[in-house]
Amino acid sequence: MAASDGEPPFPVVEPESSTTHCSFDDFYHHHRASLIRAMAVTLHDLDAATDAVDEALTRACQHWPRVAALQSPAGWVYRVALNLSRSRLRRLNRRLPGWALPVVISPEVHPPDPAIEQALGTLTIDQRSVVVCRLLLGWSEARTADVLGIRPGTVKSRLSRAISHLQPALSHLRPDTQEAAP
Amino acid sequence: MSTPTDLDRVVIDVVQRRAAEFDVAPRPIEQVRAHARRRHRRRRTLSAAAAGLLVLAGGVVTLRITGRDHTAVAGGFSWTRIDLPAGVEGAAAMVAVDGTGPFYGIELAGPDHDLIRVATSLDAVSWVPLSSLPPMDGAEYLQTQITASGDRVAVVGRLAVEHDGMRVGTLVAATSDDRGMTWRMTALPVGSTDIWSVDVALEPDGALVAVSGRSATDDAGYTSESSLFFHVDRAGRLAPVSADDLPGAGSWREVTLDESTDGIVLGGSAIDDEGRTIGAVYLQRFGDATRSWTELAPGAPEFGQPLLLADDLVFSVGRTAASGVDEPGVARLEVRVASTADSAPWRRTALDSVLPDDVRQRVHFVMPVLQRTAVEGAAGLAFPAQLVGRDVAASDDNGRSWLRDQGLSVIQLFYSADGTSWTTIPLDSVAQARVFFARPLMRDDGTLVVTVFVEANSSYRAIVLVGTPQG
Repeated sequence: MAASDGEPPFPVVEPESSTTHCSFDDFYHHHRASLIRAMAVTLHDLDAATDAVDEALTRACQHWPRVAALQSPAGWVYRVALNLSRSRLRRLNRRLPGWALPVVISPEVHPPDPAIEQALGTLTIDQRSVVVCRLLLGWSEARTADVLGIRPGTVKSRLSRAISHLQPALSHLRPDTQEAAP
Repeated sequence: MSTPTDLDRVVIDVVQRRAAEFDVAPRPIEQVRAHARRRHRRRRTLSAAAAGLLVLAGGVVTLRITGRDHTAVAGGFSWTRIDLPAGVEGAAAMVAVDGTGPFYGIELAGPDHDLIRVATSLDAVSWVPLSSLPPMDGAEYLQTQITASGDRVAVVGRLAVEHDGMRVGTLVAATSDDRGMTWRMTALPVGSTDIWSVDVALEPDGALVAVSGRSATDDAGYTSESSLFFHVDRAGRLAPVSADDLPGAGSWREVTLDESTDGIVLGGSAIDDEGRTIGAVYLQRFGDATRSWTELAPGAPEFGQPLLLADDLVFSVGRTAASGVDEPGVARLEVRVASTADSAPWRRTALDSVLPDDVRQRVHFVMPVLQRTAVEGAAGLAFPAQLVGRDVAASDDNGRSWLRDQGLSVIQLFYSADGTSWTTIPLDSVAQARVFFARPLMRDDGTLVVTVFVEANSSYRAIVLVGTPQG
């Protein structure tokens, strides 16, 4: 099959077609943890991610036949969870005008490289959601665009900007850099 | 197929490792199924949709405002504390006043927050229950706004209803012409999954409701941004407001409204036909349905910051030189004043004397209020400001600091009767609780009412602090 719109370089989860039209139980067990981790990377907040994904899964359970018939049930859950999270942040901001969108680092998580953590943290949620969909969940540009409700060109540009933004913090990890190091 | 670069591979590896570090707690699927079943049963018990017009008799109920728990003297005010019931969330409890008239208060009630209770008070301390707004389609009220003008009161309640598997926000507007005794309720046709802001203002011939949020665009709940304006006339009839004459039309976000006898000021953020950002427009009242919007002075007020209208002056208290709303800490606070009579630039007065360097750098939000009979020179101005301590461990090399949920904040009320001499009142000590958020209100006689929300067992409880000027 031609991948004209740019298949992800490294699909890191199983293609969703293998789970489409499966039972909710199978979908739940197969996708919950990976969706929560994806949302946690997006939000930088494991607790908020867990709440949002669990709520989205509850909604998926309520209407599983309809959700299962979608091209990307996992995409639907991710998008609903992202909407819920944004709504929550909006409400928080509404109550507290000027309040920071907090980058809450769960105390039990100790990132091995603060520079990387900080670089990821400085991406916008829009950028992180594209990074997560494309590079972590392994979705194509078209599917990512569909899930996030944006154009494929926007997916490409956001991903490009995000990677460019991360480049300084990650340059020391590139193989050519490591080889060149004395 | 695209060819991954070395940098792509590094980013993928980093993101994968970051994701793997999150330890996801298991949740039995039975819990999800049980939760979904409960919701399904509740949906089936809902009555048929109650869109349209409802005319209600004012049923008197017992408002659970419980009375005077504490009194204190601080900052030239004698403070009385009134506790609202536990579980009243966020912006649910609101108080409004017009000029020297009575106060009107609303709170969410009912086992599922499906009622709005309305009460009135002459002094904001002793409250008399008036009526309640009943459930709409069995929905849960999430957020409310109230405003008053003379004998008229308007309330907008935001509801959550289940629709096609989504928890959809919708709105109901209630207006009263008899001081809150009887109400006309009108369901507003807002099909939105995510309402960001709602506000209401009274016009001579009805009420203006502004809504901004995200509108559902397809079955999957994918959304886009939009803003809507409605007019509810004095008979409760609904009429969409044409945004054709409104600069920025439907692009307004985070809309706030404030009103005086002369007009309404609308604040927020919009883009006009030429791509310019607009922050405030003024609607002069002509006593009929004719609307003429005028753009106020350029220079948008801060995002989401309320505007205050008094006579022909518009006030805002905001931050300057802040590097972004994502960042706590500001360079300076200032009072901004514009005139509705012309488009002269905002007059800015720094509040350096109110907030010294070490304090103002920690300010997170301000929510100003005016004593409208003494507006010249920003006299009769008060605002609570949340001061947030910096967490050095969470600061980056650029000096930016991110708030951690570690109880670092404190809220203080800053008040001035003359615009030059300021008093600082620590709200936490007056409320005798950890204040999460505070919303002030001032009557023309100087009575200061601050609705504060305090944290209690992971939920928020509303407290009303009533400050009566001493002497």
